[in-house]
Amino acid sequence: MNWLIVFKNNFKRGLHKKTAFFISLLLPIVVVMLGIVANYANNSVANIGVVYSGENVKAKTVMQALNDTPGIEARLATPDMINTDIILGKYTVVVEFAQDSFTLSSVKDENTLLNIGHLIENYIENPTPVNADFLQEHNLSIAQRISAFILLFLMITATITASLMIKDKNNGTFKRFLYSSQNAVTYVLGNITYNFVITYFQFFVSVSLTELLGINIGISYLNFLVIGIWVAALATAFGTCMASFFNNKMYSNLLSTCIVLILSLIGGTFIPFHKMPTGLQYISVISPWRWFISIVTSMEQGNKWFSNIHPLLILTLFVVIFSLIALSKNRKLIRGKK
Amino acid sequence: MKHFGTLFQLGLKRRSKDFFVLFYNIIFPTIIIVLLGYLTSKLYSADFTSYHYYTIVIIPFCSLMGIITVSYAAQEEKRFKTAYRYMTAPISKGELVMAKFLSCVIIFALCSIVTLSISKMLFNMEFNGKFLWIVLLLVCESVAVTGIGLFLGLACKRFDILQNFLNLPIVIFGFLGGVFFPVNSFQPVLSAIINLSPLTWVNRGIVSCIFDNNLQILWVVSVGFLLIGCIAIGLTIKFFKREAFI
Repeated sequence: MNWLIVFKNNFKRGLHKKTAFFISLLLPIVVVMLGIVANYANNSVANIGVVYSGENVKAKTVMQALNDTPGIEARLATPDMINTDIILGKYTVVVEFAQDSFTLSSVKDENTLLNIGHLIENYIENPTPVNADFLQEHNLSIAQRISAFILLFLMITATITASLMIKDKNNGTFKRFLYSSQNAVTYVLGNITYNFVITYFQFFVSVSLTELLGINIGISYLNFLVIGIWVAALATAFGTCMASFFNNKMYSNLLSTCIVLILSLIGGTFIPFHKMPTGLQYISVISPWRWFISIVTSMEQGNKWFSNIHPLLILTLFVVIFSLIALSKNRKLIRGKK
Repeated sequence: MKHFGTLFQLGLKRRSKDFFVLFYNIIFPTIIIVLLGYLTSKLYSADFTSYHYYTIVIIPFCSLMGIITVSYAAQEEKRFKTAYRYMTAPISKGELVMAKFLSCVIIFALCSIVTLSISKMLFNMEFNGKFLWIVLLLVCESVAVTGIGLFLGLACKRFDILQNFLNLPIVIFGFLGGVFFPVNSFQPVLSAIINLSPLTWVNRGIVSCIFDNNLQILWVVSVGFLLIGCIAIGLTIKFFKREAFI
């Protein structure tokens, strides 16, 4: 139980600088909350810009029908900023109405354009709102987006929390530790436990506040708390691993941000796994996000926790690998010092 | 001026040999552009590809990330244990700060231009004759980034608390600015939050300049960056104490 000494000592050191400690504890909660709310609110399928001149009744009718379609919002577009608004995603597509025809402008793929074109043609004939789910079928769900965002963000903050180990290396605390009868396992375990408690606390408070605010993300509160154990364990193991490699906080923070962003990209955080190019689908096996999103998807479908054991085991394997790398790196340091 | 010249040259040497500066401002953005571009290649048209989109949004984002590198570079005397030499040397505060400032601005701006040129060649990016305007914006962004970074590193008293969390607001600004995927909303609150990100305006400036032939936003953003940079560097010179190096 010697790791408990490291664990308790880290808390004492944190509380010694109360302001810094509470900022580092509470700031991630605020950001995770903001992320959850933003992901929850930003759930529209397609924003359509409409341009017409004069009293174009047909354009007005179509615009009204588009606004009445669930998941679609239509607004009047500014004609001299059409390209900017399309490229930066303000509008998925801009429809320019002439008297008898319309043209579509977009940077999206042909399929999306074709679907929206058909929808507008349909509304010109008959402006009764129809189901436009075909535009939504490939997007990530709210639960998938929010869970992936939380994992991404907590992996970055866990690296920041783990930078206490870098401080130990630089101010000689680690060296003093080597003179005692403790070993690298004790040191790494103590740090991982401390980091885990902090990270899980941040996760717990964020998710509980979300629940209190009545935001339904599609997974039950209890299930989400259980997911949190893997989220916190993965983030902690990764953060500790990164901190073990560097003697400089900046290098550790920047590189971890880089790695986290790249892994989350190839894991399907921004683009659903099945929409990725085939090559990247194979590469994505090395990303924890792919397996994490797979678990979330399974839970959204109403499956119980251990019914999808395969990705859960892979995530656990990631935790073990990151922890072992951290351990081995610190052991090497000990050998080097001796 | 003699001291300034020597410090400036030293700064240029250090920054241009700093692996992290080069990695974070040239290699990382190129990797991310290729990766994100490839990842979303099916979602874009043949004329305006995903590689074009990510060239526009990733380079200013990585340039903004430079705040972290600069804030640490500001305190490198601490790392090199040369603080006491600077304390006793007959160099003015202005010379010390300006030498760091100019060397960082030059290297960061060059890195952004190199990355932009690499992307231009790799992805056949058409700038419609506005390449130099984009370069101007990136140089102005480097001025602001360096000014803020130096202020945080040299003049901010609670930098030890802030330093760990610098990457969080920048990544959030990135998300809001559409760096990872286009973000926009008609909801007034979300729209206002999105507009709070400087990267939203940088990206709008670049895109409207190239594709809508509208230089207004680019000008406002560039002048804004210059002003922020000048104010930040002025405040740094005013509040900087050499003891910050210890």
